[in-house]
Amino acid sequence: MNVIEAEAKALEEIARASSLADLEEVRLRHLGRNGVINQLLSEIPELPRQEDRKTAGGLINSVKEKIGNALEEKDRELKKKDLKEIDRSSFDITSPGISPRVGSTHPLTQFREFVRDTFSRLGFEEVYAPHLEEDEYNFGLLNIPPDHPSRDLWDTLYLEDGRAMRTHTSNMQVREMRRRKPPIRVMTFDRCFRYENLDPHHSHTFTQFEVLYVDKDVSMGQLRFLSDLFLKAVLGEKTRTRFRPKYYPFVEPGVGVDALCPFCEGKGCRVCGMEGWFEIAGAGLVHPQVLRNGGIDPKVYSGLAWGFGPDRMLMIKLGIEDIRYFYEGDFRFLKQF
Amino acid sequence: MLIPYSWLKEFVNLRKPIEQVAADLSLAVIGVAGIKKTGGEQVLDLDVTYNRGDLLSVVGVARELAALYGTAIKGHPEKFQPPDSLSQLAVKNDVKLSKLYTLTKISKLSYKITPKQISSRLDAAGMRSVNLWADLTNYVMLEWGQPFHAFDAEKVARRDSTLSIEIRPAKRGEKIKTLDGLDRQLSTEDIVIADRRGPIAIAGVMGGEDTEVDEGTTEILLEAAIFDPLSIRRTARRLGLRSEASSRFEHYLSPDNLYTSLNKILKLYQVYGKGVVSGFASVGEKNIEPYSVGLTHEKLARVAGEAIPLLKARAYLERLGFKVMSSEKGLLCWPPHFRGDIRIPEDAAEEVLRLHGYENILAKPIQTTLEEVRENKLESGRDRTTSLLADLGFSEAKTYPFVSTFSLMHLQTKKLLRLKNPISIEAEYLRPSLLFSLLEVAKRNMARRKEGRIFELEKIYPKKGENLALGVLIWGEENSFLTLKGVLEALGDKANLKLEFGHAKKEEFFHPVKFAEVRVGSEQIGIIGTVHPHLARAFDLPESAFFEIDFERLARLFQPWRAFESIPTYPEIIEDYSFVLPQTRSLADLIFEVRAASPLVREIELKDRFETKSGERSITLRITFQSPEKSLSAEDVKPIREKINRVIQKSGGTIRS
Repeated sequence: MNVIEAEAKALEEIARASSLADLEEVRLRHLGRNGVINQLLSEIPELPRQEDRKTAGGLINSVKEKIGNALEEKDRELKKKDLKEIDRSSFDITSPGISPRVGSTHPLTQFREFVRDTFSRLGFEEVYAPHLEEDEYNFGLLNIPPDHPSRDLWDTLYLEDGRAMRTHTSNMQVREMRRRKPPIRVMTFDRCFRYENLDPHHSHTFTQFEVLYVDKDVSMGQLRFLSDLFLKAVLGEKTRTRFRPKYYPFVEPGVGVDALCPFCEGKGCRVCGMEGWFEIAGAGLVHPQVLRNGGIDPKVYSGLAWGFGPDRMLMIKLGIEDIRYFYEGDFRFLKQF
Repeated sequence: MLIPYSWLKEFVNLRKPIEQVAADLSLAVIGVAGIKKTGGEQVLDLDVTYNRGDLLSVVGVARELAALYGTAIKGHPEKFQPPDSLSQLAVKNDVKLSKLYTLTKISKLSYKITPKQISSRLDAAGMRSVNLWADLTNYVMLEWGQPFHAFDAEKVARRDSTLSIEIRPAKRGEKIKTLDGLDRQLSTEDIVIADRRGPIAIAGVMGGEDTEVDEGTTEILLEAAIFDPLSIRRTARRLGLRSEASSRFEHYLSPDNLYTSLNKILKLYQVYGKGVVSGFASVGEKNIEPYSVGLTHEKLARVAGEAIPLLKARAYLERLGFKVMSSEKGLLCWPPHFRGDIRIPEDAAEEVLRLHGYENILAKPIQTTLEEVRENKLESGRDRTTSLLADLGFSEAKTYPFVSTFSLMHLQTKKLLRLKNPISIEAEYLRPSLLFSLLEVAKRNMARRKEGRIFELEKIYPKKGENLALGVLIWGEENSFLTLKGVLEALGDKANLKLEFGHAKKEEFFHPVKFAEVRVGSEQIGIIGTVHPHLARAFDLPESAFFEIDFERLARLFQPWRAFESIPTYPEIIEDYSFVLPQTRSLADLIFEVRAASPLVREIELKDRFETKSGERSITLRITFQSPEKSLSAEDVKPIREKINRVIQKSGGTIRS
């Protein structure tokens, strides 16, 4: 191919190019490393005469420049056209995204992490106690002897082998006291069981969270501190709480903890049953006999226990109307978290 | 306990509206379940707890309100003082069974209908009006907390004219026909009131039919007693006869209060029944030994978290009826006779705080010695696992710990832990695995989702001991075994653990060949398998796969970090190897051999696999060759390529051209 033909062909191809990608191909074919122009340039040394070599070089370079200019011009033209097309195109950005496959952790798992974080910042350590428990750890050592009328507070499920399905997480108390030395700061978030028929507000399987703190000079003041700190973290800084006398055989004094209804702020509404307050937690100072049962001298140390039901707390906080949703595995529930 | 407001006002001046009184009670005394309206009467519904048996009475609640408002209780009821001239009844008692037993004979009674004032109050308090004689016992019980039982004295005399009453344990085989007309078989644990012919009442629980008072009764033997609480409780529970009376007997009762209420009821029998007291007997401890509880200033401050002046504390206690003496160290307190629950200094401190007001206890930050709280591997493992599975599209379920009757059809009950008192047949056995719990969740969701991914991290209860397990199930996805295996491998990778899969002994719930045990080193930590097609079908499920891991073991093995591998700088050469491998030959073994073929094999990726119905497997491995020292040339790779082809053939593969 001679220079003239090469020029004509290149300019024609440039003119024909209808897209930027086409044009890039044309450029490579003509001005690329192995393109026509370089091919022609590489043939120059084969010309016998110095004069011809010079003429040919000048000619080829001027063609190269022409092609270069034509490419640039065409490039500008195509980009302009392209921009117009991009501008003119339409796309429905409201169309839903392509869903990735996303699962979910259970609301109780998410809440557990929150609760654990809150109390671990205060130096509490997570502990565990058996679900299938000896009577003495669930009751006897907590000041609830067999046959005692105070057992009416707990409708208990028993195994054939005589063990109880623990009715509260408090079975960890004496276990932990016996294997630790004060100061003891432990917490547990786990399942408990009661003899209850299932309905929107009752479940034979439910969750409790409980902290136990044993140290010198543990008082109702500190109970108030811990209680307020946590309830504000869950229900909001504005949350107001109050203590009421409440009987649990393993604490003295024992208190019920109420939180002001977050929906009506105490005025009374359907959610709080017109009470204005929710009973949200139970607590007290560890009974001296329970401390003794745990091998701790109540003359030197005192302790507090504070606990609540995460299912119930979530029901209030999120407006879940039926406790059974937590335990049925319905995707319409699970996928909301 | 239902307490008509007007009744309460007979004993304490209340100027506040009932709502305010209810709120005050709930903040300082006892839980209030609500305020009811019954027949124009406002009624407080109280949740009386075991420790406060004294509040199972109108007077008891009035005493608390008087203490709360700093006022006095109205009226000074006197204790019954039997005149010396009164004839003695023959009563034999054992103080172990009945701490105090009194029997009063009332004669010359003439019946009339129960006055409206009394029957409407009984009604408001939730008790049915029966006849005047029984109504008066219930009325005074509600007012004073002391239960009574009225025997028709003539009917008793007709059985045994000697009228010798004995409180004793029931004899083996003894029976009684109770007021409700039923024949009751008694146990030797029961306490009975008996004459020489046998029981005439089950103590504290129910009277006998043949000594029942009625409109024709003209002479009554009135029993007021304090029985052994635990025995009454056991008997009432066993016979299913818990009543207002029996539940009061389960609590602490005061002899003082018994005599006061006896005085009151005898007056009512005189006023409404024209009766005359004609005989009396009292056997047992007429007074309780007074005891004191010391409350030091330090103890009070330690409970409250702040100093409460002793003078104030003393005033609170005195308002509550305590006798208090101040000493150098603090207070010596004698609880009032009606309080059986004050035993230790903390009890007295609670009384002070209640009246001081819990709202006045200020939050006090914790001051303590900080010690190291070590990382809890179970919890960090739990966090990683649940979030990884959620990221991989799994939803976390939480299910009940029981095996449903539907699942039970597939399990052998003798291998399961059974409850002694199941709530229902749906909650009789404890689950030995998460498999059936998750199959049920899948079944429940199938109507709306033909495929799904779920997991649960919860306790299982095999006979050998409870255990925290991770169960994961997928249903409706193709190639479910390998898909789930990939998930498990990803979990192992996050934990920096090399999981190994080995052939496991067949298990009935899993596909006979798509089933493996999962190991870390030589430790078995779980199983993985395709759910047996018949089992899946029983749950209306398509192809499903499941794995279960002993999570406590897995968490213990979790490695939080692994050493960094340098990123090679020399260029790599990538080649694909395609071959056919029968299912009977192990692809894992083949890959292992290929890797061992040369140190220059840096990475092996399973690029493609295709399985035909006949079970033939086409495999493409993408192998990356790379040297840490130089750029590889075609000559370097050639001998390795030949070796790899030989290894593939030796491992059972047929190279595809």
